[in-house]
Amino acid sequence: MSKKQMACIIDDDQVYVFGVKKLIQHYDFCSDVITFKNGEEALDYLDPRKECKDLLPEVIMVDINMPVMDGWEFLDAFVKMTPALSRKITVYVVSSSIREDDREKARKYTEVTDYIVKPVNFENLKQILCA
Amino acid sequence: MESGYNYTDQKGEKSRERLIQDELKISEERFRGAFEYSAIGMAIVSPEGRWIKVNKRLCDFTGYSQEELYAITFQDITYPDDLEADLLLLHELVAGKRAYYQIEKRYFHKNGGIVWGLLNVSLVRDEEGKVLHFVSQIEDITDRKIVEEAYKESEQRWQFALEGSGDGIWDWNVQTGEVYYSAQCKAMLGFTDNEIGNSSTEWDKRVHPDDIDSYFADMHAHFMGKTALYINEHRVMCKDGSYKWVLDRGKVITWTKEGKPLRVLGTHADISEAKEKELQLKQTLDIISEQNKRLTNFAHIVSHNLRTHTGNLEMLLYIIDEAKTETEKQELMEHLKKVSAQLSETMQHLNDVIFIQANIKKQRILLHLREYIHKATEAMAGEISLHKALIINNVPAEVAINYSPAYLESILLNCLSNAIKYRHPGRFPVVEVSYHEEEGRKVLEITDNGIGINLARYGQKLFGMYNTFHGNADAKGVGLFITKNQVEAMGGKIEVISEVDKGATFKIFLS
Repeated sequence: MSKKQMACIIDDDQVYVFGVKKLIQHYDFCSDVITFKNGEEALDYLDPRKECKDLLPEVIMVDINMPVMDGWEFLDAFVKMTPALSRKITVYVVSSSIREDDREKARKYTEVTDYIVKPVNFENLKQILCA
Repeated sequence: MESGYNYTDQKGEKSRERLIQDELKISEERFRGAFEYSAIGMAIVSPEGRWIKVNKRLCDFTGYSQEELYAITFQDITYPDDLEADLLLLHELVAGKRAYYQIEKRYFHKNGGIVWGLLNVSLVRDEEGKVLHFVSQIEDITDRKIVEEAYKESEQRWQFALEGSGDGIWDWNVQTGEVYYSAQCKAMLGFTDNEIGNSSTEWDKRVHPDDIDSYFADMHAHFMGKTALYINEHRVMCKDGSYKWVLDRGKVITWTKEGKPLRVLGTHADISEAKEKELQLKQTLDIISEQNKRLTNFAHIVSHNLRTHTGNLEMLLYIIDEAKTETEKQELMEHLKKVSAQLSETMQHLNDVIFIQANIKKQRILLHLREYIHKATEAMAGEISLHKALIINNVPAEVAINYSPAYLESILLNCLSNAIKYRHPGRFPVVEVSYHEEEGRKVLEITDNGIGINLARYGQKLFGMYNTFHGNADAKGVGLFITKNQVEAMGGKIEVISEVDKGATFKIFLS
């Protein structure tokens, strides 16, 4: 089990964020968890830190439906940013949507490793954080 | 021999007499021969109509032998319907009003069938002018008549088929531009026969501007040989200014030596009713497709939202099991309560939406728009004074609409409170409500000076459920979804025009 240093959760559902953080702490999957309420907040954090490897998360879990900047818009911006990133970041889309359209759309991003339907549990988190 | 004797004895006088007699005899024989073997039926008929002499051809024609004919009159074998006309002419002939007459008439053949003859009659009078007999020539025209009848019948059938179907007929000389329009063509547009000229421009100028290009293009394609038939559907302006849908079909039937179209025959069929039905069907289909889309979308929303809450519940309960300290458990309980409240709220939203979707029997009452706007601002008095908002009600007092009171209240409250909720931080909110009519539809406009909406980015999702854009803590993403559903349930639509930082205008079509 290779423990991750830092995970990033982008989701506007505060209960979900609280729960996932708790689970990560409980199983000690990750030393640090940073959270953002939408894509824009996440980009505002990531962009200035592209070259600081230690300040970048190894894993991002991004929701689709969010105000201000949704998951897709975040992914579009993230794809453009990837070449400049000093660290390889694994991205998971985590959503309550079971729409095939959404799943299909996520598959089109080569940067997205997998599409996970909420709720996340021990197995999901293990897959995401201990790969 | 007597004649020989006469001839020798009295040479001068006698021989001439003889010569005349001979000539008479020859000419009589010639006449008899001509009479007997004529290709045309011939007869000598008494003034009463009795056959005195008939030739072989006439016997063949009528099927009777000479003896049989001599026993009857021409009236006996004349087809009853044709007798009167024949007798009328005969009387005129006897009266000296005409030298001869000609008539096409029917006779009964001996076998019971009908034969057609072209009858020519002249008469011979004695020295006192009394009628001696008629000379009749009867040509057998039965075959021609059969063909003619068949042609006439088919012509009638065709005419009947066309007129019965209500189609108009046109016959166009492309080189002169002259067109024959049948009365039906003109009647279709509400014109009488003499109200429309015979030029092709008569029709061309009445074709709807939106259809004129395809109208000419389809005819051109047919002229170029690209289509076997010219077929075009277009709208034509009637006398009263209204439009009718016409199915226009035609075909070039003769070409000039240079290969240009010369004569084109065609029909006009009024397909307005079918078009109207087609349009209605399409509208119905659009509505059903739209409803279907909405229902699918709604099912996904339900699934998504319930999943969010149940997922959270599941997760929190799992963590509670693992929680070690009492404070930790307490904190989780707080979150559970929050999720429970959210779940109730979501259920309430879903109820609201279902209520609109299910409320087919929408009660409509005549409502005064201005009054309802006033009521909405009163209900929002707290918000309005808190944010120093100004609501300008420009709707004329006399505007009345047939609407569901509950929906109108809800729509107005939602739009007005949105206008204040998304106010610009740099200025006091000003909201203007106005009314106008657009192509016969009643339109309510609500314009604010707020932060606006980036339509390029959010336009498609603006009226979707649980879509919020500004990160406002109190934005639920339900309001506009419900507003849209209410507006559409009343048969209208809602549109938005906006520029970021300038404000937004919501256009609500009330009918």
